[in-house]
Amino acid sequence: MRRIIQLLVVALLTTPFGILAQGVTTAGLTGTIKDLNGEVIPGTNIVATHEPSGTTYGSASRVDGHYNIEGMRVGGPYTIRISFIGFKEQVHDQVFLELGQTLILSYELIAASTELDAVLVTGVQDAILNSEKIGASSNFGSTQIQRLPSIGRDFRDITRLTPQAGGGNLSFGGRSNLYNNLTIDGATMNNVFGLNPLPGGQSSATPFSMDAIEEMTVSLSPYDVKMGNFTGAGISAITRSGTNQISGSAYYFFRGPTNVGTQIDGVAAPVPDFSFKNYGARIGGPIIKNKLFFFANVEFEQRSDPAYTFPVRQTGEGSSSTNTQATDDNDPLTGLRGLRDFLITNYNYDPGVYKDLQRATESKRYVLRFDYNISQNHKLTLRGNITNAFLDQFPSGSGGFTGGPTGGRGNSNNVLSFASSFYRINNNQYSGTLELNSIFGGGKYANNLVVGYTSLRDFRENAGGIPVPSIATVDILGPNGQNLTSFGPDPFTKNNKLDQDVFQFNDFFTMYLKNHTVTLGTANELYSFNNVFTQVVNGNYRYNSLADFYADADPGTTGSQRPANYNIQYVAVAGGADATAAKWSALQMGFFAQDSYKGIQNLTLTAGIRVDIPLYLSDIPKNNYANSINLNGEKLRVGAWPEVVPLISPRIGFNYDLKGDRTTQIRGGTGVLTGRIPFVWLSNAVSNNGLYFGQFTSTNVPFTTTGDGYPYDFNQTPYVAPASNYSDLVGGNPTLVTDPLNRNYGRSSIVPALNTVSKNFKFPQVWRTNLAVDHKLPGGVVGTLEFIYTKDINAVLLRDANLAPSVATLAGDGRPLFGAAGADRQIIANDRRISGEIGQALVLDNTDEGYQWSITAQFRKDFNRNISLMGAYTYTDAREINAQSGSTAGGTFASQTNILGPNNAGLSYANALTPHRIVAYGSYRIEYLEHLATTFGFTYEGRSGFNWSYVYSGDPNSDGTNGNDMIYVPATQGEIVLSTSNANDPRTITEIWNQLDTYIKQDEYLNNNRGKYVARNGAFAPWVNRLNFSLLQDFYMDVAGRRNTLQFSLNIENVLNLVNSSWGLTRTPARTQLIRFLGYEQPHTAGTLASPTATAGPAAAVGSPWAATTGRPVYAFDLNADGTPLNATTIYDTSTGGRWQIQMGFRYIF
Amino acid sequence: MKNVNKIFSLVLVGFLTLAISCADPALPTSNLANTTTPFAADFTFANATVDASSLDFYVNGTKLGTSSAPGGALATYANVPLTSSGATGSATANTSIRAKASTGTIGGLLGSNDLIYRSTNNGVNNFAAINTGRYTVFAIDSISRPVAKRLFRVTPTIKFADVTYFNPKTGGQISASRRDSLNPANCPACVDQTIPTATEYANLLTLGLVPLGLTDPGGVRYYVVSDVLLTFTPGGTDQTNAGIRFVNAVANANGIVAVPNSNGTAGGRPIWARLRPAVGPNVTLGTSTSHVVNSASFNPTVGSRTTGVVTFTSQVIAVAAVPNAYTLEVSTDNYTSVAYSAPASFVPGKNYTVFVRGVSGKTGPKGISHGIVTH
Repeated sequence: MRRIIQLLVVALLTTPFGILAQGVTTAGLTGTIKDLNGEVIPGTNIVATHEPSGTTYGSASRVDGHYNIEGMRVGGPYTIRISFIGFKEQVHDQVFLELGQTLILSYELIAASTELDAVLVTGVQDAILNSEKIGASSNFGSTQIQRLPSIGRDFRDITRLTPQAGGGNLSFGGRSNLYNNLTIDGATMNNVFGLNPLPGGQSSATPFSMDAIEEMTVSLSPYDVKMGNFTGAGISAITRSGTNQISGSAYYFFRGPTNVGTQIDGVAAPVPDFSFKNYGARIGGPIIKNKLFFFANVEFEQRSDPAYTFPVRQTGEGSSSTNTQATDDNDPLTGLRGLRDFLITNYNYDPGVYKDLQRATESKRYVLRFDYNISQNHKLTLRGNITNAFLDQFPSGSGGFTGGPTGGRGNSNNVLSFASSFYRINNNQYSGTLELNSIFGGGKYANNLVVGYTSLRDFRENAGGIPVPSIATVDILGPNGQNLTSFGPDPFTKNNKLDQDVFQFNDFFTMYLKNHTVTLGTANELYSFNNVFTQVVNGNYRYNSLADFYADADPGTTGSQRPANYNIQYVAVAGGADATAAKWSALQMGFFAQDSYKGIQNLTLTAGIRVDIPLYLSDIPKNNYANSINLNGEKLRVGAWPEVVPLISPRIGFNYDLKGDRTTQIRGGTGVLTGRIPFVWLSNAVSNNGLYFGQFTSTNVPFTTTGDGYPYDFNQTPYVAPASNYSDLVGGNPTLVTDPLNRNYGRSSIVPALNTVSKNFKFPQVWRTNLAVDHKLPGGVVGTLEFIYTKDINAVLLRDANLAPSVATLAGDGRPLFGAAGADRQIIANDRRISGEIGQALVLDNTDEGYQWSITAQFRKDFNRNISLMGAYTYTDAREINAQSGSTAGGTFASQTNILGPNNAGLSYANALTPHRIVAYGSYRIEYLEHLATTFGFTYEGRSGFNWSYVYSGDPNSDGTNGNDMIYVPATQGEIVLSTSNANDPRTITEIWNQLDTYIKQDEYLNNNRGKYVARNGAFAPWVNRLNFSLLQDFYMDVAGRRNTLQFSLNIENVLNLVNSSWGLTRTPARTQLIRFLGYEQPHTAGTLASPTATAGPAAAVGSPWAATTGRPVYAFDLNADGTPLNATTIYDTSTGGRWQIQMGFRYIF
Repeated sequence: MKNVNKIFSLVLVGFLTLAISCADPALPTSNLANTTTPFAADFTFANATVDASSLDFYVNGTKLGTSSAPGGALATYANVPLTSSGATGSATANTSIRAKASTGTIGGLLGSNDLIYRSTNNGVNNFAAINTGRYTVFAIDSISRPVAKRLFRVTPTIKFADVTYFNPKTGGQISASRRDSLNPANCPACVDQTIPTATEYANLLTLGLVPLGLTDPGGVRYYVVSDVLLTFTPGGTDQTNAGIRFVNAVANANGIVAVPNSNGTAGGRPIWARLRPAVGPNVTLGTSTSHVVNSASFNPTVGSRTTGVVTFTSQVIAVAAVPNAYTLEVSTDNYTSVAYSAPASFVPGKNYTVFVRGVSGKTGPKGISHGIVTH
């Protein structure tokens, strides 16, 4: 014992620290051996044999008759042999183990002299009704994975069946989907940087093939301290293993436009010309019988989608099904053919095609696994997997540090960008893990060692895999004021790459003592990041019309023109883009101890404590200039990490068998879970330090280079700041360049937006409690009532430290009104900035506000291995201050819709909240006629629709962020000042009010909140019903004693919609920015007025001081694009995902 | 077991009850300023078009007064509530201005019967009225004013031609950097556009340097004038004087393209206007006036235009012999001949806008006539 502990300590101290991704990878057995008189029998041999692989596990009962076997292969069947001298050997076969399950099997041995011959199993095999079940979790075995429908062949279709899951993408219990922990074979498989919940998520790829997965579990409230690193859910998956028999499968699945519904609620809906195919193979078998096994899987997935849903309009063609602006001709305002010809002829630059373009999505997945039975006590697993994926994506509509072009750059009825603006995002993943499960001391001790490494390599190219040229992005508005087209590379694609490396070391040592199971362990993860992101580094031209562009770009025109705007963020340090990389490392160490006590009859108690210690290992540049500024008593910490504070997570749990017969059990627990944040939020603080980049905007940057002396142009090397104006990284002073075009250097420019981390910032922690009752109902149905309550201890809060207090209240509804930004860096009264030296200063901080709770009623019936049914209803309430789901700190802050200002957003409904949810699934398999088998599977999800916040378009509270001010719902016309939307708006003010009033009346949420502000995420879309169905038809025959099966599969998504085009539809909000802010009755007047501008009516006097507005905000309730009033809260989701789809497939199994 | 089942069921019901009794988030109480808008401006309207038969005038969607035929105007100002003060820095273009034909359309090239005011060439912003302001909105020009277009030339090299010409014979437009490049004698290889015949070339109307990004639909358009009325003292000048101003809205007076001039270029015909009383000196309204008063920046190829204050001049109109009665005379040759004359009467103490409309050189409904706006 002492030696083992010594070894463990040595291992902890000498092993490089990695991460803690504590997923479950194995199963276990436990129980008690007694004789028929109830006396315990110490020293009994228990040998469990995994029949497919011949893998054996052994243990001996201890003095109290208990035995334990840990680290066992999931699945089965197992044959368990119990033998002791003087007693008949007991043989118990057809035992199956689920992932993470410690199955309780207790036996009564029969004296050798007795005639009785039966196997006396006194324990229960139920996965729910057993003493090891404490917290809330769901297990999905190979039966569900293989039989239940999943048209995307995506594991999320399975995890979604967890009763407490939300309606969205991998969200559980109303918490952000970035707060989960996904492990495969015990190794972390997260996108820890957090640009997407999953590795490969940006390219719509799943990190592993469904064919490679054996089982999965979703744990919501584990009181096992081995599990950590999440405050949402812990998702563990294990890959398949080889057995003594060579077995495998080859498969091909496909669907296309003929497999999609063509109507939505009886109305014809166009189907895009897409194609999807998924194909691959898996094989497993022995290398050395009973000793060494292999498993391999290779899978390819390819999808092609049209890039232009609204194709370019041919001459004379109507615009009902085409782009409303772009034409395939030389029209000087809309003609893309003319623009392309112009660029080729005059600039030798081909912007690419503008029609007949397909977007490609591909992924390739490889898994290779070896299982080595070193001995009966030591099992080694080695697994490696590679996923290479890419997706050709629409150009981003964002502007970077300024707003994007009106209407964006992506696919819409108004915008049609050239192929050169599309980009390819590549997500490559390389992962390996080694797991050693050991048993010592005749089963008294067990050890689980996991060493893992995951490497993620994300980078961008132009669509088609073309290198990104160093030329500017050009946006050109069309006749309707929306962006007509864009050409040149997406402004966020140049130099966009992210390398993530995660090393992991976990070791759990378990001791089985009398009535106690004590676990000691450590879980460590070492993260390294290298993120290069130089947005808009090639510049971005904006023209108000194609004619403007021609006038600027064609030197021969008599009417010269300059762009409406030009933006660039240039590198302000030596070394170019690579020098701006956010390159840093962090370490999170976890140590824990736990005791599971069974000394009280019918009661299992677990108590443990876990300590997580995040460490930041890299020095990052400090911005001493910004840090020296006094922001109403606060100093920024740009370039400083938070103080290291151990995060302590105590947990206790219990399971009580109410009547001692496992027909009713009460279980639950309480404890602290510690997770991690998406590291991009920390990385923001590394890269957005105000030192690496300079920014400027101008309306005087020509497109051409006709000797005008400007330093760069459209297709030349972008602007490079002179070395004399680089930021001072040593001294921590930012670049002072103001307007490089005019060689105007000085200090009149403010430092761009800064990100920093509070000194006391802590990783997210929640206090989670659950209480559940499991009860065996008539008919063998197991019913569960489960209550889970989660209280945030350290939720993430972003605040702008440089946002000045409000200067007044808005006359319209009384909300705080912030100042306007000054025109120069001088601080004058009523500027919204505390300091004009810097812009937005976002501080990553904590709050203890926020909670989630849910109650679930679940019923499950497993008739046998061929039939199973589950149904559950869950009510969830979740409150938060912000969604904590943005990929940048700035984006997250901007999403904090508010009434009292962005720094006082207040608690409201969570973004990922799904209040009501019913989930059910089941499968049935029947074999007949000796060569045929049919398997039916279904999943049903009925849930509340997604929620949203009603906000104003624009910025009535003048906090500097558009679209984050929640609306006040007017009770009468007198409570809102309305105006016509624009010159095309024929309505009277009364008509506008009547239309708004009608809208409010039909919207239950708004109508119930007249005379009040709306709540963040307080509006919900209608109920969603989604029934999916799968059919597997097997044709099998035995060849040389082996079953060979040809399987045809039919996967129908949204069966209800197939039956009736009005059923199974999803509705999305028609307009979340319901009301548009136009201006104030009495507007802000920045600074002092130089001269009166009004020539009639009252004129403001020269020298009038700048005062906050005293007038009410003026709003427009815009008409729809077709001129009709908005009269419905939601519209149908018309994407293919919103209708029925059928996927067919073929599979050969041997 | 039955009891346990009952308890299980009761707990289930309890949970479900809890599920639907969730508290809403605490929200701040609003502090509502609930008053009617304190801002308003006065608007009146005149139909100074060549041929838009009968126009209804709307401000913020509400029709003001009755329909106006060419030469007609509203009888009085209408006071219209505004949604903002229009003070400096206001982002609110607060007033929608429209004119609709009572019947039919007001311009085939416009393609509708709905003339909107746009504050920029191709934008959709409303008119920005100022609290307590007074405005006279003129509809001017012809329903057949051509659309101003810039056309793209592909050959000989891809260039963007920025000067547009109107071909009255074909009703089409053509663009070039230089006019003579459109001469069929000089451009045998210009195949990308329809080159006019020699006759058509001689009669091309220059629409001019078309503003960049222009989306002017052609047809009639607006001319909005701010009014600063003269005040008259009771018992004093109010008994003898009236405030009178003159607006020349003759379509071809200067650069308007309804009808080509003999030299093949548009507009440029000056006019003279005066009020001749029965007794006493004439009142000069305009001497060789340009198109519209105080609108030197009025570009012949763009749509809505706003100018500043067009001043009223205090004129003695109550002469003893024939009080208030005048003959309006319009000449195109400095009164060598009178192209148009009509009686006009004025009341002391009031303000008037005298406008002429139509086409110089035409007779009949499209010929020169006048209208008077009483303020």
